[in-house]
Amino acid sequence: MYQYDQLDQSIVEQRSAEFRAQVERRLAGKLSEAEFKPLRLMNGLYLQLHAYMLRVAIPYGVLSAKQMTMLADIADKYDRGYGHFTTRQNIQYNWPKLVETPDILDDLATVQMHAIQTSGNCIRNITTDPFAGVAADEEFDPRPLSELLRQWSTLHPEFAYLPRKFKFAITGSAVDRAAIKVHDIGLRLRAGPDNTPLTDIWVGGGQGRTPKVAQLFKQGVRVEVLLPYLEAIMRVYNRYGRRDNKYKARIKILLAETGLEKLQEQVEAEFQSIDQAVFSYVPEELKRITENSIKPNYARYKQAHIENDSETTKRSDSSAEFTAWKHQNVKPHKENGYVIAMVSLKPTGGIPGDATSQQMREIASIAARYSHDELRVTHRQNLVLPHVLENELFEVWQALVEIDLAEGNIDLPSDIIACPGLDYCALATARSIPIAQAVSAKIRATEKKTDLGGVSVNISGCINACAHHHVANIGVLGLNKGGVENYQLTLGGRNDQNASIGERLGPGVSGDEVPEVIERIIEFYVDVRESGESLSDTYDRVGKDPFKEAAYV
Amino acid sequence: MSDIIRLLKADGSIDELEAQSVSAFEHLDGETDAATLHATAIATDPLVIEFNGVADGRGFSLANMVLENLDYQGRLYAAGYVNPDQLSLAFQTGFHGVLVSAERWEDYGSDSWLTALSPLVKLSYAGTQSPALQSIWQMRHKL
Repeated sequence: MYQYDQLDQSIVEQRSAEFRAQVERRLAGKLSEAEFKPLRLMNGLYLQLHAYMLRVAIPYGVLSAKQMTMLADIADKYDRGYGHFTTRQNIQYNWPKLVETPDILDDLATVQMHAIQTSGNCIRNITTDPFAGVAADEEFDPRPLSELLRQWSTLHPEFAYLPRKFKFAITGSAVDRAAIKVHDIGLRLRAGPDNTPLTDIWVGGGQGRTPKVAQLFKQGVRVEVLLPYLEAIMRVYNRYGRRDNKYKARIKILLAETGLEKLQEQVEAEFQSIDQAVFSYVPEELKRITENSIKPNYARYKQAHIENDSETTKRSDSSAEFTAWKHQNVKPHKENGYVIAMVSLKPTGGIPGDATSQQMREIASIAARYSHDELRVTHRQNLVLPHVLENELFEVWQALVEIDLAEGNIDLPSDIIACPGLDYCALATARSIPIAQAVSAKIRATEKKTDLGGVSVNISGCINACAHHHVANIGVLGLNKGGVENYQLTLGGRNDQNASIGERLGPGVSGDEVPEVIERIIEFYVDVRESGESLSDTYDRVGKDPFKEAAYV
Repeated sequence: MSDIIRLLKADGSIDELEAQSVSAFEHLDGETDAATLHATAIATDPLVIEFNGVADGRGFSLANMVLENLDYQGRLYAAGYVNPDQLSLAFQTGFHGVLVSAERWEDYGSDSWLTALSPLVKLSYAGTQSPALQSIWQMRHKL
């Protein structure tokens, strides 16, 4: 985990002081809401349906136990005792008071956290593979580059007023767990000749009203020249991205209207104009970032903790619940004897992504005791204990059971992504949380009886697609038709290395019908799938019509 | 165009200019194409980049193209829709000054402008072209 130096710390303290002054001007009536809005948005402060909402950055989804404890403390001190983890690996508080938001930023700064650029038309939180640095199948650890990009994009004066928000994601594995192809820019770190890292750049992915899978824009960019190349892309976008219509302002539209080849030419010309010597410090900065990052000492921990082996094994063997949880929630680790333990924030019938302050505090304790002090947040709104000794897994599971966080449903249909929907969001046209709760309650029993493999269900409460319904195997979009909530279903979407946009299945249904329709789709998939097929594979093979027939009985 | 235009400078000072003299400066804006930018930047001092809206950040990219790509050595000013909270961004980008009309000075109030001009130096990691300011990466690596 990267550790701030004094200069990093000065950035967050400076921003906190600046925002305090802006809030004071707003409260004193010296700034109108119209003037204050862009300023608060740059600090992650939204005005939602019922109250302000503060989105706190969790850069590339990595958290220390101490930081998680602070998030719990903030939930208690300034909010209503819970937080909501988001698809950009951030956390949101739904009820802060405006006057207290500068105090929240001050508290966050004490643990090297902030809310900078979690909103606004700027470069947002950089996201990456939640298994970065620990995945057994990883080619390059994307975290040093993620931190480099975090620093480069933070308060970059040229890119503070872009045509629209801008999202980066990075992966260092062939299996894409960071959804890079549905981001404005997706970066794939891979091995070049002599194992030197090269970057493939994908541009123009995104969701919302006009979902697009990114196009391969440039292959094999050396890490030393990546920043000037990205600056060239950003500069061309900043100059030519549309500003006349916010729904056509993302780079995906610029790419579609300009054409891939012409946009590549514009970027290349800009890249050639940039003085690349200005970026000569990049290798040194990457080295510094790596050196300033705490690395788990696996060998020493293993030596100190492998005791009572046989007793633990005996107890774990006798627990069917533990075995089921382990089958679904535990993933292979690059280090022998270690595993990655995923913590589902999707209890049956619960609110996806929510955690109480008590749960946050306890999971921080578990991370401190069993996971080398570290946690991750996933874009599916779950948590990860990235370094768990396999011999201690049973104890970890027992501790999770104690705080109701031992649901063994990772990657199953009840592991639903849902946006806040009409319960909180001022933009929503329909509820999504209650629909997600009803779907998970309906489907969980089936999941426990049948090995479903990976099936993703994402539910958005409006066309802005914050829950990524376009790239779910089963997507649900809540709309308002004549004052009545109506839910459209899409099938066949995926957000991995074979990303695709889901296809609309048929007419919309009522909220009450959504769980049954999804259950029928899953039952049909189970009936017709061939060995090893995911739902998307089956959909690609048999096509829409048989699924439609099964869904609309 | 009879009002006073204030030139707020990166060193914290303010010059009062007659609008008449400012209007004689060469003005570019976000719509300017690269060829015009190139031709104008070579021949002009001072050069003014107009911001067409508060949320329109094209002027920052234009400034970087002028300063970084074209190695412009003259005075570069921002004008138009720049508000007090954007002053530091303008200075970090490398603008030598920001031209503020009497109307915008009044709209935001002298307090806001003077506070924004005070020596609170805003840091960023990258993107600082101003010779008077250093980015964090420049400080770290002693560039």
